[in-house]
Amino acid sequence: MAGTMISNKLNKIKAWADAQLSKYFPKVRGAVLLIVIPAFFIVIIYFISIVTEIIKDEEYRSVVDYEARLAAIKQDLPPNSIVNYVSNSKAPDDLINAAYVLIPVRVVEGLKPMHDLLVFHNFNIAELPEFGGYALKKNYGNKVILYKRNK
Amino acid sequence: MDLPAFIAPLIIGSSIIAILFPIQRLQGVWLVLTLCLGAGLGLGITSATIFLWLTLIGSPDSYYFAAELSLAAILAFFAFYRIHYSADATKKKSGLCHETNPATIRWLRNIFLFLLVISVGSFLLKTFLQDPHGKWDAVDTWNFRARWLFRGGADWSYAFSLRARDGLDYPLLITASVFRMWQILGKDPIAVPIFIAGIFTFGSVLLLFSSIALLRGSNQGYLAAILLFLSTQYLNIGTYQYADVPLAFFILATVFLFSLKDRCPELSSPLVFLAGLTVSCAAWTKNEGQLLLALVIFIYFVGRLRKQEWLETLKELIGFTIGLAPILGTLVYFKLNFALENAHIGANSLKQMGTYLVDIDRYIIVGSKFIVKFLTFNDGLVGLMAGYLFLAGLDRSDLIKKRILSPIILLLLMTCSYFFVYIIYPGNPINLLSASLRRIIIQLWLTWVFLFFYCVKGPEKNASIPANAARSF
Repeated sequence: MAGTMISNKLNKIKAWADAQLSKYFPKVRGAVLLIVIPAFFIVIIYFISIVTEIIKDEEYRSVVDYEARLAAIKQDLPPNSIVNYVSNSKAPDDLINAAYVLIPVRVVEGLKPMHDLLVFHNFNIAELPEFGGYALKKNYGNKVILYKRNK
Repeated sequence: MDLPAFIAPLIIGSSIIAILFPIQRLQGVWLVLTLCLGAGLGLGITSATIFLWLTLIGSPDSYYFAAELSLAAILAFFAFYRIHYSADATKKKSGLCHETNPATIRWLRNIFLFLLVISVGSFLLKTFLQDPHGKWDAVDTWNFRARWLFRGGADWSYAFSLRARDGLDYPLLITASVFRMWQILGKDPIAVPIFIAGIFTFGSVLLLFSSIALLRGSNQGYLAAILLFLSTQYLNIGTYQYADVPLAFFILATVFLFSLKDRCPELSSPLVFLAGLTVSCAAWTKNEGQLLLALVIFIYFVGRLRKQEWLETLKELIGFTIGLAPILGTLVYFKLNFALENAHIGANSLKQMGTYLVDIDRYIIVGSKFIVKFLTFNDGLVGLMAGYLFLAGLDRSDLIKKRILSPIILLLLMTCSYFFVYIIYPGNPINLLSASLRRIIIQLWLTWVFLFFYCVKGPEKNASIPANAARSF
C-alpha cells in the first residue's frame, strides 16, 4: 500500500518535471542539449587556448617581425624603386613577407638582374658576405643590411 | 571621413534589400538579415565601383567618395520611402506578416549571445595579437594587392603583375574592399582587413541564424548558430583573413534566397534579383564562386525547364541576370584586362588530363582523403550532427521535403566539381589536398549547416513562413 503511494507520488513528480521541461523544449530535448553543451565548453576552451598562446607567445608572428625589422631600411629606399633581395632564411614565406612589407618598393629575388640597391637579410651568418659589384652602404644592426651598386 | 568608409557599404546593401522587401517595421530577425546581408552586398558593390573608378578614371579621390555617399543617400531615401509608404501593400501581397513565431526559448538565446561575445573576443585576440596581417594567402594575395593599390601610386597595376606566385587571376572583392577603406581613411591600418574579415565571419553567423529563423523559427536559428560556434575551424579561417569565409557567406546567401523564393513565390522577382547579386559577389570573391554561378543557372533555371514553366523561368532568369550583371561585368573586365592566366589552367594537356581521369589510384587517394577529412572535420563534428539527427529525426513535412532537393544537388555538384579538380591536378594531388581540402570544406560548411537545420526537427512547433505551392527543382 505504502509502496503504491510512493510510486504514485513519484509518477506525479515525474509528470510535473516533464511538463516543466516541455515548456522550454516542445520536442527534441536531448538532441538540443547534444549541441548546446559541447558548444558551451568548446567555445570557452578555444578562447582560453588563444589567451594561453598569447601569454606564452607560442605563435610565430612572421609579418609583424618583418615589419619591425625592415621599418628602418624602408625609410631609406626610394618609393617605387626596384631592389635586389638576398636572404639566408629557410622560411618559405621569407620573400613574400619582405615584398609585402617593403611595398611600394619592388623586390627582385637574388642578384640578377642587378639594381642600384641590394637588401641583405641576414639570419645566421656572423661575418657579412661580399656581393660582387656591391659595396656596403648601411648596416641597420637588426639582421638587415643595405648594399649599393659600385659605380 | 572615417565613418562613411564603414557605413556607406552597409547603407547601400541594406537599402537595396529594404527597397526590395519593404517590411514596415524593420526589426527582429528581418533587421538582422537586412544588416548582415546588406553589409556583404554593400562590400561587394563598393569594391566593384572603386575598382572601376581606379581603372577607368584614376585614383579615387573626393569625387569618388561624394558619388558613393550620394548613391548611399539616394538608396536610403528610397528605402525609407518604401518602408513607410508601400510596406502594407507588399505585406498583404506576400503573406509575410502572417508569421506564427513560436516563443523564443530565452536560455537558448542567452547562450547564443554569450557564445557570440566569447567568439568575438577570440576573434579579436587572435587577429590583433597573433596574426594581424593574416596567414599566408592573406599576406601573399589579398592584402598584398590591397597594399599595392593603396601605396603603389602610379604603379598600382603592379598588384596584378607576374611576381612569381600563384593567384594571378584571383577576383578582387576582398582586395578592393580593403583598398577602398584605406583610400578613404588616407592611411592603411591593419585594423581594416581585420574589420572586413570580422564582418564576413560574424555576418555568416548572423546570416545563418536569421535565414533559419525565417524559414524554421528563431529557436532553430539559435541552435544552428550555436553549431557554427562549435565549428571553431570556421572562426579560425575567418581570423586568417582568407576569402573562403566570405565565399561561404555568399553561397549561403544565394541558397537561402532561392529557398525563400520557393516558400514565397510571389516575391520571386526581387529574390532572384538579389540572388543574382549574391552569386556575382561570390564570383567576385573567389574563382570557386564562378563555379557556383554556373551550377546555380543549371539547377535553378535550366533544371526547371523540364517542368514547362518556360515563361516564368524566363522572367526569373531575366531578373537574375539583371542582378548579376553589374558585378559580373566588373569581374569580366578585370579578367580580360588585368588578370594573368591561372597557373592550373593550361598546365594540363588534354591527353594528360585524360590519363589522370582514368587513373584509379588518383580516385582512391582523393576519395579517401575527402571522406576522412569530412568525417574528422573539426574533431568529428559530423558525428555530433549524426547524433542530433538520430535523436531528433527529420522534419518530414512537404513544406521542407520538396524544397531541399535543389540546394542539396547544388552542394553535391560543387563537391563533385572540387573532387575532379583534384583528380586532374597537374602534380601530386596529395600536396594540393593537404593545402586546400579543409578550406574547400569550409566554403560549403556554412550552407550544409543551414540545410541540416532546415531539414531536422528542432525545438519549434511551427514554421515561421506559411507554405505555398511547391516549385522547385
